[in-house]
Amino acid sequence: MDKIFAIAKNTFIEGIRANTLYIIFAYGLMILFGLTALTPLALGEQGRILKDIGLAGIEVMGILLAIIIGTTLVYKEIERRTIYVLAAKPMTRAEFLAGKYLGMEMLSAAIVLIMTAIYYIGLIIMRQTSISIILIPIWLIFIKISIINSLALFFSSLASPVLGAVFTFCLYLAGSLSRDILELAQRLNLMSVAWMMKIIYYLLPNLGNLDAKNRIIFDQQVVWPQVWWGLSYSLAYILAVMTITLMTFEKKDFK
Amino acid sequence: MEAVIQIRDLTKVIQPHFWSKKQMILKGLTLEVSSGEIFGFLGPNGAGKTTTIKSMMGIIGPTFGEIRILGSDPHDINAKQNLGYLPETPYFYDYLTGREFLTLCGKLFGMDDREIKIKVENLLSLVKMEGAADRQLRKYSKGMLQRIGLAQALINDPKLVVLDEPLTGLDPLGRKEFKDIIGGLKVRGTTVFFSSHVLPDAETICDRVAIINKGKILKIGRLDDLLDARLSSVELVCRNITDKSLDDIRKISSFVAANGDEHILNFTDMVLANQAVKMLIESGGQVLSFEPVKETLEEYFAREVKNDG
Repeated sequence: MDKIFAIAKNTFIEGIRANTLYIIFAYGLMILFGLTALTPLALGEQGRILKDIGLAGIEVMGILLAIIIGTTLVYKEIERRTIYVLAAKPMTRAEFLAGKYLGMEMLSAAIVLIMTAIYYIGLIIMRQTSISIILIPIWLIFIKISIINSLALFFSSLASPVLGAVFTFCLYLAGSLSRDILELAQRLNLMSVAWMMKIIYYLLPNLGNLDAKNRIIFDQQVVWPQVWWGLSYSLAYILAVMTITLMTFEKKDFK
Repeated sequence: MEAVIQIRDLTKVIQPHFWSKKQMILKGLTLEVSSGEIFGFLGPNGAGKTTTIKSMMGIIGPTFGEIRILGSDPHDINAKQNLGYLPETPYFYDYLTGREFLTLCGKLFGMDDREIKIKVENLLSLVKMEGAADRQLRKYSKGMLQRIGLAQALINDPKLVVLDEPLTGLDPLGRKEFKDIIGGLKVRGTTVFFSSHVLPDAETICDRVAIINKGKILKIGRLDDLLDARLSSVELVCRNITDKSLDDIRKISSFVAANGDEHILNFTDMVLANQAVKMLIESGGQVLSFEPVKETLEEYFAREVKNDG
């Protein structure tokens, strides 16, 4: 476990020293914009608008970070040949991948935490009440980011960062719309296409499971069974992606 | 002596892209390195030295053949626990400081914080990097990276150290210090396997060498055995040589140079040199020195590689 933590810490330091903190700066500007520029246009709905753009901002910035940093994680190690030193150390490739993923998760968690703090400052300034409930959608956003982190890591062990970023982003978009794909499959008369769309639906990450933003913004109750189902599904999906990543990485030659 | 490296029939075929032709980089390479040896792995660029080392480290897998490192498969974690490795032109995490990087390496060997702290200080002192320990690696020169690279290869007190071109990028003082460290490892009983282009340096520290060219081993053996068999030339320095005997000697000598009343003569073999000495003494000349010149490793290497085509 110590070796996994050592790799994770190194990945975290790499992320922090790679100027990822600009993401926080951009988020801060977004909240400031929400607090000042949008207020005259909000017609008394400033609080709701700030809640909306604040949550959307955390998701967009978190996903952006996962794609930018995550898709370079393993690729850079091979390309810069830093993997040579690690490959000679008493550590399995599974431990290396687990460390890389954990480090990326630590980085995402730190960035989401800081953005949450900025968000809460904005909400307090806007005198919003019952703001503790907002932690639930933020938590679910973090789980979404965790899924994207695992996909980014998978692509970083196979493809260049540009290709990896494109694939990961496409999967994020498709995953956010996966319910629509299932609905479309159910309406199609052509059986073969419907089956293919169903398979695609099951392969894509179902990120819709993890969306509680709208319920919170419109002050509705959180449906807990849905949240727990979303969490269990996400954990299983991440484990499946990590297993496939390890299978492709285990016998890879580092040229 | 126990064999710490055993390579049998190692063959590596690569295909850079699926549309490109397959290339055989290593062609049935076989060698064995015993415990406590300093073993030099010599060959021109593209001979397959780094590919062999990468196979030994489990960085790439062999197409055919078998490799045993410290009696185990190259991927075996227990074997790696006793292994140190410095890659060619080391690339490290340039955002870390030298101290942070060594600490990370210590952690990967499962060492505790106290042990790492002591070990890191000792190694920084050994490779003379105490002054730059807290500077980021991106600010290091090539020689400094090589020094930190050697330090990380020694952090676990390994039984076997594999060094890929350790002397490149170092100034003459640095090369001497590295050779001293390698000599120190031998005293401690550590086996050192290293590849090098710097042949005179390799000559001074190796017990045995292997010469590799175009993916196959041309020669392998003790340096003394390889080089003693070959006499490069015989150098004779003499005084009071008469003009007549000089003319006679000139006919059998490959090189003649005058330095005041002394002459430096060179002969391609011992028979001709002895003949010249006889002529010189008979004419009243004086022999100041008579020195058989052995073939250097560099000359031997160049000849073997040239013969291989």
